[in-house]
Amino acid sequence: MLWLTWRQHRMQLLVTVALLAVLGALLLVNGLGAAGFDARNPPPADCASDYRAACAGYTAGMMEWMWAVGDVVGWLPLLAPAMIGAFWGAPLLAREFEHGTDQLTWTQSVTRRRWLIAKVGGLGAAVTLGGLALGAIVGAWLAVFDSSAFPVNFFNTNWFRLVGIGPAAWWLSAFVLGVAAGALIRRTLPAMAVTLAVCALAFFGLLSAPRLYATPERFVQTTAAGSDLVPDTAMVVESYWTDRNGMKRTSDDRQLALAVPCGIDETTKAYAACSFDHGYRQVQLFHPASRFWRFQWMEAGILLLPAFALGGVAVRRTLRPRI
Amino acid sequence: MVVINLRLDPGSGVATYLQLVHQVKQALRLGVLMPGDQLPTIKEVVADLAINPNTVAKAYRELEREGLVAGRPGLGTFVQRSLGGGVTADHTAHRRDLARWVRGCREAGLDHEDMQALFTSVLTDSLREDIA
Amino acid sequence: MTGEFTAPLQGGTALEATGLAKRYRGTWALRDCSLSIPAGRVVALVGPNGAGKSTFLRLAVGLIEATQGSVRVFGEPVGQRAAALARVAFLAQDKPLYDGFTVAEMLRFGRRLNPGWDDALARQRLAELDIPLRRKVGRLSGGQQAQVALTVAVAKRPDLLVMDEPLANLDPVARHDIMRSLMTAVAETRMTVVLSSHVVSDLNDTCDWLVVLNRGQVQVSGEIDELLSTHHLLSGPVGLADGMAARTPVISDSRTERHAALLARTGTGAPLLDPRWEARGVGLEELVLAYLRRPDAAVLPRPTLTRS
Repeated sequence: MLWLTWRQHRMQLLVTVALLAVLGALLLVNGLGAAGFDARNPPPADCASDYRAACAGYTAGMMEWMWAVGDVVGWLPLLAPAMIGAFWGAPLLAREFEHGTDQLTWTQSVTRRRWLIAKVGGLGAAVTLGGLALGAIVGAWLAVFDSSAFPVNFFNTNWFRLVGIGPAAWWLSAFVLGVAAGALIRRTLPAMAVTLAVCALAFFGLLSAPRLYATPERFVQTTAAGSDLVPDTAMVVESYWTDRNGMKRTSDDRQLALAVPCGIDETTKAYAACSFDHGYRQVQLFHPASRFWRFQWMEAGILLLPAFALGGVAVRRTLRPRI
Repeated sequence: MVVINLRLDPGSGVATYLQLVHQVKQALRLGVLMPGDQLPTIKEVVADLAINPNTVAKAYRELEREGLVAGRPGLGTFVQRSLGGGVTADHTAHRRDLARWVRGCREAGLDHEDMQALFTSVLTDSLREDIA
Repeated sequence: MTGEFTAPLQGGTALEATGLAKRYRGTWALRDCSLSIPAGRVVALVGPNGAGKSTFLRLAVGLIEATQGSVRVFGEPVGQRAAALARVAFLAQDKPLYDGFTVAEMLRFGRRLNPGWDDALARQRLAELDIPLRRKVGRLSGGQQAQVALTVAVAKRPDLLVMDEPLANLDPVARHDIMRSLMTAVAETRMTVVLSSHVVSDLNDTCDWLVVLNRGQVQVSGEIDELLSTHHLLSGPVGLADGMAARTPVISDSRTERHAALLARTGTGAPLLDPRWEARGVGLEELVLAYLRRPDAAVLPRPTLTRS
């Protein structure tokens, strides 16, 4: 069965491994470049707490390196699971049904149960490993940038589904979804189309869902002195002002109310201090970086539970077919 | 060495195993097959004619039952004795009877084809009784 | 006992169906189907399109599950157990193979998935047929693909080989070649074969047991020689036809003003009670057609298997 699984799916395996290798090489070159820049232009020690021209130069340089490949990498959370579902999952059963080879392969001396375990289990494991590899590659690349002078926000929608167990969960659930679509639809192209559509829906549906994965912490800024601000690595859910009566105010409301005492240039420190003096408070709802793994596992559960439920229905239908 | 090739006549309407039996008997009668000759193996006949091996086995069993051939395990099937079509004197007598029958039919107004049809029908019936 | 022409593995029952029924979305494809096929036979399963032949065969090899009743192969219930699967091979209707595999890879597929695989047999068969092992299956001719599919099925060394319309979509030469290969394999392995066809003329010299399936039910099941010797076409004066029909089961009845032609199950021995009747034997095709046109007439070998 191992040979058969390899023989029938080696194309997908090799292409996936090759693409991961290309991505790895790209990120390695980019990461080495960024590390070189970091070595040549070490950031001032207090960049994290203060904002100065030297820090701005460093940040701009690192940004440039990061976004040289960031756009390419940014498409991966949508594209990679969709491709896995469509090319690994959907054809697994649909192609057998479509070509009638289910009648060939399921009348050999291997039970359908064993056949399914080998194929779905084996390829599912490969897909999970692939997803973990992607997570490790992107994680290692981001680690090059991540420092107190240039903190990387791992909640960023660009990275959240590319690091940790995120990619593995997305890939595995897309694979199971594809297998189930193939088992239920029994034709390759429609099963691929359905898989792609559901993957896209899931991606856009869950795009900003992590903010709901827990009750955010609340931080109220009362003075312009920014020693205990919300850290850059946190996920900010909402940010607003309250007036002296504790009423929620939009920026426009605030600007209008403070135009006389504080002027109109909101970017200055004096304006901020003036705001606070007039009883205005900035409220921020956020998730601290420490919640990263909790959110990763929550999203994995959100993806995998329905995928496995659907996969279970499909496997059941395949083991005890009505047609 | 295999001496004869068995053939089938798909349009004859005669059961396949009987065709095989008749062909072997005909070959025995004509002296094409002699005692000690080997019949083609079942596999050879099957590969040649694309017919059911059970049919060939049935034909060979029938020949064996009549004592014409014998199977030797692992070797094949061999002719035991030849078939003579009776002695010449009998032929003369039968021929005379048949001639008398033909005259009778003519007098009754039957033509050539009528007689042929009758003869074939009787022959077929007697063949069927042999089988049954 | 005699040498090579001992009777094939007889005595056992290769395939036994009891009250088998299958329903697809409210339509019965097969109803109350009971029959028993002795081992060592080459069985022709015939019937019009849509009679339930494919359904019956797919049930017999465990590809689908019965709605009611059961099938047993060599006494064991059919199902998803490796030991049961190993005894049965199936050649589906379009002889599916993996088009992207080479012929050698198809053999490897067979070897990997079947503990009883006979690689020497497979290679020898393909060599005899001049089928290149390194050619992709998808690039072989239809006849060659059918031969590869048959080779994969035969080299599994099954005790029962089930084939769904093995001769469909093949040219006459390929049909003959396939039948010849099949018959040779039967001679070598003594396996039981069940094959379906809606063309009876293909099966004349190759099958020795006939099962007629009509409108989802078994109508005839019996040894072909016996069926042929117990049925006769009787022709005689129309005035005697009713009397004959009362004594003998009549399958087809065609009458003109003076003459009646009856296809009747007369039983063995002399069928004629009255010299005004003339009897002649029937061919397989004639017999099958007569039964298919009379779905209410049935010949089943054992009283326990008659339809309710």
